[in-house]
Amino acid sequence: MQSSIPVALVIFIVSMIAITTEKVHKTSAAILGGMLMVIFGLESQSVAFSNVDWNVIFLLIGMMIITSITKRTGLFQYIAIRLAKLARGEPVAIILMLSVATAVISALLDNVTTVLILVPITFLIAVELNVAPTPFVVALALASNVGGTATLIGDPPNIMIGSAAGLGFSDFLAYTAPVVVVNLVALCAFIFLVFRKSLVVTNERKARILAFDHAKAIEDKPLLVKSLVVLGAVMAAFVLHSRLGLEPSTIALSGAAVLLIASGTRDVEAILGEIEWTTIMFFLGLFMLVGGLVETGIMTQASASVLGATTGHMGATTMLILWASGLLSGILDNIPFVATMIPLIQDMGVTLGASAVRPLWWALSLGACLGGNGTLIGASANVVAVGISRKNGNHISFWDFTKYSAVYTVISLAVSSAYMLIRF
Amino acid sequence: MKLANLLDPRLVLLDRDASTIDEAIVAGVSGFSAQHLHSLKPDEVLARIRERQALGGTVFPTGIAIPHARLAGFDDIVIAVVRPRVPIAVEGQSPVRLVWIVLTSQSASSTYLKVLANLALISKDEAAMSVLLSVESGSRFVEGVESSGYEVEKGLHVSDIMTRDVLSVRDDATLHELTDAMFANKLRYLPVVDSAGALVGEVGILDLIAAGIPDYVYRVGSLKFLDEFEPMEELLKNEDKILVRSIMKPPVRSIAPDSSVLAVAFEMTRSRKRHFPVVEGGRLVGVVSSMDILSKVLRA
Repeated sequence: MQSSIPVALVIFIVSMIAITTEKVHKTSAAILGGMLMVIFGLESQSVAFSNVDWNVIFLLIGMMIITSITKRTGLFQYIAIRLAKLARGEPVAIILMLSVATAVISALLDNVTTVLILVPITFLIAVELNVAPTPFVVALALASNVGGTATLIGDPPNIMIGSAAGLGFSDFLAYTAPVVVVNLVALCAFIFLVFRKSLVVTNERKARILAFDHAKAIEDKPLLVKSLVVLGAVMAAFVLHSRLGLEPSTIALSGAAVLLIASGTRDVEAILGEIEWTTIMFFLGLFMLVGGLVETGIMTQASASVLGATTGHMGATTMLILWASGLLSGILDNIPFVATMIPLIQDMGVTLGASAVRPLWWALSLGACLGGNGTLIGASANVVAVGISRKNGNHISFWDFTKYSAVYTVISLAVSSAYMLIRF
Repeated sequence: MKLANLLDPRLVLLDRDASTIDEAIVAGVSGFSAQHLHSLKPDEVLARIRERQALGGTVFPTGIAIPHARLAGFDDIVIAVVRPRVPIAVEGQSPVRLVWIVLTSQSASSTYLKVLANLALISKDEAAMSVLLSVESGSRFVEGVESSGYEVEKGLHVSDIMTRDVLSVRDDATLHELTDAMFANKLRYLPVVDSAGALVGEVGILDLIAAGIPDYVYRVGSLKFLDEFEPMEELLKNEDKILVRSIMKPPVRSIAPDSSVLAVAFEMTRSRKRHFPVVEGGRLVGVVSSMDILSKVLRA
């Protein structure tokens, strides 16, 4: 296999450059890369297919279906309006409450979906308040990435890490969620300090928010009840999954099927059409691409040299992974980065034992998820939030966004470092 | 086939005393022989023409009327023409100088629709009209039609039913100008042209109204919770700043004047679009709308 390493490396590096620069669509690049691994004989087709982590694929699909039905109920708009009214139209209180809500929702749903649902309603609130929408857009984007870090299903890197390392929903609740709570408090403090002065509104504008009729935001009450029941059951099953002996993807896909039937909709085709197939195909291609590289044995060599350099310095390795993944995720797509890091850490686990590399998984999760906040392009949620803002005539440039997000990312990585040092 | 070949000099009734369209119709129908009517009775034919007259829309602004009937069990096209001694005054219309009475089959063949389109065209043709209004005999009248060269070949084309001389709007006009043009002319659709007159887009009334609704509203999906939203605030505030260019759509498909009517009807129903610009050599020559199909094909 040694002779095939250069070929695999060329395919891998060219594909990664294409994915990162988006010269071609990243999904097309990933699929072609994966197929080239097969064509050049680096992995047989059956090996390539078995390198796909179907647990990840079906967990993503299952949650996408549940989300696509739940968002039709108007629940999230209801929450946003309710919070704005609870804040009595006070913009500082609104931005903090919406940030926390975004983080919580993002922990349960995909970050981009959360932003797609909450940024428009927040924009409307900002317009009604007659304040600049930028602080709200920035705060929500940051909060969605922070919240997503908290759970197994909150952000795709966690799904990948969870599946590869055998870490469950409750493991994430026990290990990443506590530090996410601290990071969320830090985010609120940061938002308060940075944006407080620009968020001043008249009494009359506050009254306009109080005139919102939140009850009318609910589009479909029976469906809302069904969605909440299914979502609750799915979460409960996630927590109990080791006792139930069920993988997360089985739980998510079962929940999706039950909700599809319970919703009574004949519109299954439309709901399944809302599954982000480009994302799914991207993952499929990526798994086969990285799989081809792993089959050459290069990852084993790489992990051996990493181990050689860091033997006995587990703490330092943890910090290295946390900060390297944190800083790289600000510029690179964190999903292919995590996909590449997974086999490396898995190999180290083979040598050191699974429990010894546990902190490395958490460092990778925290770094990759929180690191997305590093720049405007670090996370899809940022790009989507700023895109919605631009479409509504409020331009937020790369630096407008990054000057806030980069500072906060350093804060959140520092908080996470302290947490890792204390806990492990 | 020439239009003139469908005319019979015996059915050209010149300088009749008729002070209403109905009197002209009665005169025209009395001119039909049993041979013209096949097995139908003149009373029956008259009744059917009057039924159609009640629906209106047979008087044209160019000073002609085309009362007609589609008859069950009648597989022919028969045309009588009545030239009143004095143009017939019609309320709200120009005086009618020629009354063409057309009988055709129930299914309105394309030849028939073509005849109607040609009669409308002749009425706009000043030279032809001056001949038809001055000739002394039926055969001269038919020759006059023949020399104007109108053909009724098979196949009805977009150019036969489209609206010519359409209003258009420049791509650098403001929404203020667009709104005024739509309001003043009661138009729901305008083609957009550039400074050289080339078609560059199209804009419908819904595109205009959509400009008054911010993007985030679409994304929120429902505004039921919002009772006090200022209607169209955004649009009214900015209508002098936003250009037609920024809200227009590129023309979905330009229709050539010689496209068949069926092709356009298909395109309309498939894309659920009621208007299409008609383009020849890059230049806008007309607009064809679903109303054209209704009034010039289905109820012509």
